[in-house]
Amino acid sequence: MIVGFVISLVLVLILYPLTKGHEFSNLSMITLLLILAAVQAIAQLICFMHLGFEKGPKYGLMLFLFMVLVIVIVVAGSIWIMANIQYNEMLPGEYMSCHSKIEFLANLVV
Amino acid sequence: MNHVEEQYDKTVFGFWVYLITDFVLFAAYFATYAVLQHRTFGGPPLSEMIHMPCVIGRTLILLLGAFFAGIAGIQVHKRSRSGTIWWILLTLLCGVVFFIMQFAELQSIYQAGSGWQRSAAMSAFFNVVGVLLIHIVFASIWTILFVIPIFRSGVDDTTVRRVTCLRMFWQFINVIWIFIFTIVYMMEVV
Repeated sequence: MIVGFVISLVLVLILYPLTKGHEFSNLSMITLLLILAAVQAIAQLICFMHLGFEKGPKYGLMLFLFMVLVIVIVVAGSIWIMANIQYNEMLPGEYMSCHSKIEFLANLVV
Repeated sequence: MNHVEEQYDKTVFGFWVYLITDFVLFAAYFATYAVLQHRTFGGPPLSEMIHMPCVIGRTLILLLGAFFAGIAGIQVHKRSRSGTIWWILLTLLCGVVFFIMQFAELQSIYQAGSGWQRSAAMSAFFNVVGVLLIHIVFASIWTILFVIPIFRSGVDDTTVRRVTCLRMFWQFINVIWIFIFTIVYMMEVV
């Protein structure tokens, strides 16, 4: 449990200095932040909540992995659909400001 | 496996299923926030209204609360009455301090004219943070209700089961806060 606490403590404390004075693009910085958040969440789920340490069949872990699947579909799907709607509803003049659809979608999320 | 252990396993698993549904609920709020975060309708962005060191302080306090809750969970398995009560009260203290700090921030944002009625982005922000605060309010009430019987009649099998669920709930709140801290606050200052 102390391990989980130390990992979380370190991650919380380095996150803010990390966003200052970096040379990454916004998109890679946000990806990094999401990965670090996931690391911290997994550390806490395992060390604090003992995910996957149950006796017998691991129903709790199975349920958790299914939940991750549902969440990925809900969150990624929402962002994707809404960004697409906005892309398709742009006025002709607005197309000039971006070079590709991918670039437009990335700028929208970041 | 005897009757007590069986009931313990069933209750903890049932509570875990509830927490899973709560995760999905928050995922929907996060999706809403991700979609609406730039729709400020001419209002100032969130980054101008938050004070980052204060947010990090709150994060550490809540993390400490989840850690204390874990210790309370160990103490209750040792059937230590005073240990359980003290660590659980420390958890409650961390939760209440966090609540006060977070509520003060929401209040200052609201009074600065960027309430939930200002724009879609602020609606989504107040939604996701407000629902977490409601969770903390109920967790605090629940903690107080559980401490009284432990104080009066000590730790028995029922108490072990209840405190384990309570500990998981405080830790769940902290896991959700990691994502609010990252997705709502950190991404705003990147």
